[in-house]
Amino acid sequence: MKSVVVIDDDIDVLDVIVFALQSDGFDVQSYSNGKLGLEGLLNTPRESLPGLIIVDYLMPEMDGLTFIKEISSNHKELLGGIPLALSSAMGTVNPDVDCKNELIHLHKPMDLDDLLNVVRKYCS
Amino acid sequence: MKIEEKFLSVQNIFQNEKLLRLATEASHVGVWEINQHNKQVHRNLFHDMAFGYKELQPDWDIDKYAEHIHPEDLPILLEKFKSAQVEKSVQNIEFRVIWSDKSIHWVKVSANVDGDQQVGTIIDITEKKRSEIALNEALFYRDEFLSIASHELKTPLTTLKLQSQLFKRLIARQDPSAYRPEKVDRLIDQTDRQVSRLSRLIDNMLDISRIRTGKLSFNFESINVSELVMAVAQKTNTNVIRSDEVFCICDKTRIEQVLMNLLNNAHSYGMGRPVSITLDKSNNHVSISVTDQGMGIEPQNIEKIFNRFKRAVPASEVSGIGLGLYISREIINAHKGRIEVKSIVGKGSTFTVHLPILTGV
Repeated sequence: MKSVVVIDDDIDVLDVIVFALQSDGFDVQSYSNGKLGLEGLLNTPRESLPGLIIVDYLMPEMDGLTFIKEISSNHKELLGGIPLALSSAMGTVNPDVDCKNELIHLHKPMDLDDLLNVVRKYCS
Repeated sequence: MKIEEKFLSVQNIFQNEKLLRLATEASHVGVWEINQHNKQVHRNLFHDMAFGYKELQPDWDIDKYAEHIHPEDLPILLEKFKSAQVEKSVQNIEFRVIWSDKSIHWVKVSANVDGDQQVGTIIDITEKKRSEIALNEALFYRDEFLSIASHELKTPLTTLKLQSQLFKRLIARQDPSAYRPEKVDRLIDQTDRQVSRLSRLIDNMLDISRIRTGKLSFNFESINVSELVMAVAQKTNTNVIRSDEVFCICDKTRIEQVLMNLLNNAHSYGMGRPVSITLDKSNNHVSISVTDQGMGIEPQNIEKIFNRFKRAVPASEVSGIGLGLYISREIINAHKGRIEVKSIVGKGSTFTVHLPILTGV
């Protein structure tokens, strides 16, 4: 089973997603913005990279779109193969970038089942 | 044609010319006709006024237009004139002209081009254009506001929805973690926080509607401002530097709303550094200052932050819908007071509310 990375600046949203995924037996790493998330991922050994990254769209420091652009432009080799779930309260947001990663859209407020189904698909 | 008929016909022409002149004068329409042979333009005073002249200029040839037409608009203007010639139709063209004082104005030209004959009208539409630009700007900010407001409403809903579904699921499978006191305590705290957040957002949106319709109501009474300052400071974990004992006639709930807004902003933009509040009493005023040591505000953004729907930093940096300061200023204005802000970028900001002690409201 692969781990899952969750990046969201809202502490309560982050907390409940982490609790929900851990309750289902997943190994979860969480970060409060894209910059910290990217640093965390770059410091992860290749064999321990997550099966899925859930990243919020609107965040301080580095938002979801910049995070995706950063991976697509500078870290394609290491992180380009990890599916990205972009969670947004602003509807479907398409990053205007040549993104190698598979993109999944999670619309806030999301259903727990939808969240778990996405994580199960990529991390089980 | 008999001499009497000729006379009547000429009289009709003069009559029609007079009517046309009176009509154009009344409607401030400039008229023009280009003489194809000598390139001179025959026109009336309103034509010249559209280009910034107070009096009819002695002469005007077509090259004079090049001095006035905005260079960016010239190609499209020439294109339209060409179309008018080919299609033998009336073309309506809106473009910018530059007056001799360098100010830019909008005009609308209707050109009827048929062979050698080129005639038309010109009117100044600067005010109309300014209104259009202001309207488009207002619509842009409204749409941006709706987008941010829906994001801000959906964020607490995400927590509430996931929490309720998660606990339902845990209880259904008799997972003991659903009953662990620390988990239940956290759930209750988070629920309370998210419900308060939703309620605050909805109150702000309702206040905006009340302000717009002039229905923001107040309940004025004598209150102990010092007690209020201590209470809001405690709620928001804020240091009280000084709090002089003072009573003031105001709406307690509304002043609390203003102070909570200033304190919440100070904590949101304060980069985690301490926030302080000071209450000073002078002869006939109380001044309540909220100081943070955060990012500060760029001078050009100081006035902008009090505007409805506007914020000094992008929504991605700090959450909120940008209504708080606008509502706060409306509330303080209704108390015949004022809010001022002093800020140094990188050092922090101080927002001060000045309220008269003996109000006549």
